[in-house]
Amino acid sequence: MPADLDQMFAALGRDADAVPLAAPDAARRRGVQRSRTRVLGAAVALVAVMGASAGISAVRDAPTPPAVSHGGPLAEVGSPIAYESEARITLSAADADRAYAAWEDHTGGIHVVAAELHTGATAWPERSLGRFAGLGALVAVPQALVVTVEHGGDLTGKRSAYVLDPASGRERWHVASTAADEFLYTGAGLVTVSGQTGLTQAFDWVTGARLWTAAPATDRIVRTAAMPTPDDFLVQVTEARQLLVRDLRTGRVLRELEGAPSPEAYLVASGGTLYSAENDEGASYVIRATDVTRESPSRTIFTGPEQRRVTSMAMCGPARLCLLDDSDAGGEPFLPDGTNTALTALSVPDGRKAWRMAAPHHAQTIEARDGRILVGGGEGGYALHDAQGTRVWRDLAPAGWLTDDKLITLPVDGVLSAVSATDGRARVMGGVPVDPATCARTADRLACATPTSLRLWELPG
Amino acid sequence: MTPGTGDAFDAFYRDTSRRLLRYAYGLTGDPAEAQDLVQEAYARAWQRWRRLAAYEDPEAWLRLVVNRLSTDRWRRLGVRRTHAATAPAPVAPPSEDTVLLVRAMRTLPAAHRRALALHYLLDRSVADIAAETGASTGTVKSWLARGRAGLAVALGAAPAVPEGARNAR
Repeated sequence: MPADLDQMFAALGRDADAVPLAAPDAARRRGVQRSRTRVLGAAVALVAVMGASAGISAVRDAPTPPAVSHGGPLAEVGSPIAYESEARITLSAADADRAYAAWEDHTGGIHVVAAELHTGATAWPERSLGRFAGLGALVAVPQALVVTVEHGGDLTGKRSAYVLDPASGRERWHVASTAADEFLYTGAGLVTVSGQTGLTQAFDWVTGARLWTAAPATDRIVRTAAMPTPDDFLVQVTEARQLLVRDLRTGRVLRELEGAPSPEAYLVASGGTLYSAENDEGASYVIRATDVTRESPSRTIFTGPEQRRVTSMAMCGPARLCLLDDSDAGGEPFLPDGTNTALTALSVPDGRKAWRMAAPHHAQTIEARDGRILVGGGEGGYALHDAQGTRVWRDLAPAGWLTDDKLITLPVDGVLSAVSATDGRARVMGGVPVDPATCARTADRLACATPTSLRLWELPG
Repeated sequence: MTPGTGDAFDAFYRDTSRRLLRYAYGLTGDPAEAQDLVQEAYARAWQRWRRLAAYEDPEAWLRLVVNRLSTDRWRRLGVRRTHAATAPAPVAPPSEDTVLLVRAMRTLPAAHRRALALHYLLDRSVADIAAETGASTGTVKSWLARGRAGLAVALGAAPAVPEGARNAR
């Protein structure tokens, strides 16, 4: 056929020009939102060392043994559970008993279906929630399955969270919110915090009954973090930089502390202590610790190198706090084969630096198990460090924890490998005909919401 | 950020986002993903706006971010999943030419696709593309020539356009 490229590219250009763009403030909000999302949930790696001035240690690489064996296709569990309508966007989730698929069809219809995790049989048939502007999130917690839908098209839009019975898929209740609101999925209930007023409410997972309500005050709530069992605290930062420590089960304020972190700080709430990372453009970042179990001032436990900026922080061991930082100084993305990201491990509560290593470029997440730390999520792939900082494995493919001593790699070609967290040895498990990074997984199952069906595969031990 | 910083960013966004979207569309062939990549690039730009604003060509920085993200499928999907609900309104079906071209572009190596998108969609010269990619002008010429040849082959073998595509002519 004739290929008039000028004409074809002109057509593509016209089509591109017809694609709607969000307002600029949506991009700004997204930047802020992304930082918060990382703080609340996340966790998470090639590499030329770029930060001699920042004190980054040369990477201590343990030799990585080559992958062994070649797997064929992974064994599919049961048969695909076909949707009644083709999906435009899909989400996958799994808990100990079931795998879930939620999808948005081409008319805006939002649907959910579940499969028995171990047989692949339909656990409950397709449930439709209605037509919405978009599918937001699918979260499986022990008490419920939560589907978030959007009523508006941007970050100022309204949304609703539908709380379903995971055993039947039937709606229990739903709650309206906005994109600026925060949702905390806690064992004590679903906690919502209004981004506009600071109104904080806790809902019973089963009945939807309000367990408690904290009315908005003049001094508005601007950040919230849950400190789960055994503390069961909810810590909230107010506009005037007060720190409210609430009983997660009753909402009662247990104490008010001065000198709360800024709304933009990275927060980690763990073991009765709130850790915060405050960036200061052009200067050093500061890590502070606040003991929320008593009336005591916060204290600086670590000061970062000049001109570095924290991008993620998470607990990475019983008394370890890990953080990722990077810099624009000569940095990304102008160094296609380099990294400008570093992983630092601090001993807490004193804040002593245990080690600092180069991490994959633009790594965004820190996930630790048994003191071993998986970092990645950026353009540089993933890396696994042992508790002493030695990097025992790295790969450009997406990866995650499978068990406490095993990682799984999820490359786009669908050929999955298990990686020993002890020595970095990789073993090919087998292949799946989908992009596995979009799937949910347990220790022995991969559950994938494809555009047409929910499919399960067995992950060999 | 200091007062007025947001205004400067917003003006930059308004001046450059449409071109960036063209580029992202050319790299991905998917309007929703292009929207997402553009939003992600500007979100990153906002996070480091104070420094970026002082760059000689901050728009080139954005294109590099989009290029990186577009070649990282997982990252794209991760962003998409996280922010799917924040994407702007749905888009009209692409033209027949676009459908065929996108399909053909997907058969090309990333470097060829990038060079073609810069040349045809953003009117960049061979010298401009060389400066932006860090390659020699000879390499860029080779990318463009091989890209065109690859498109010709793919377009010659293109199957029928699916339902939903509209004719642009």
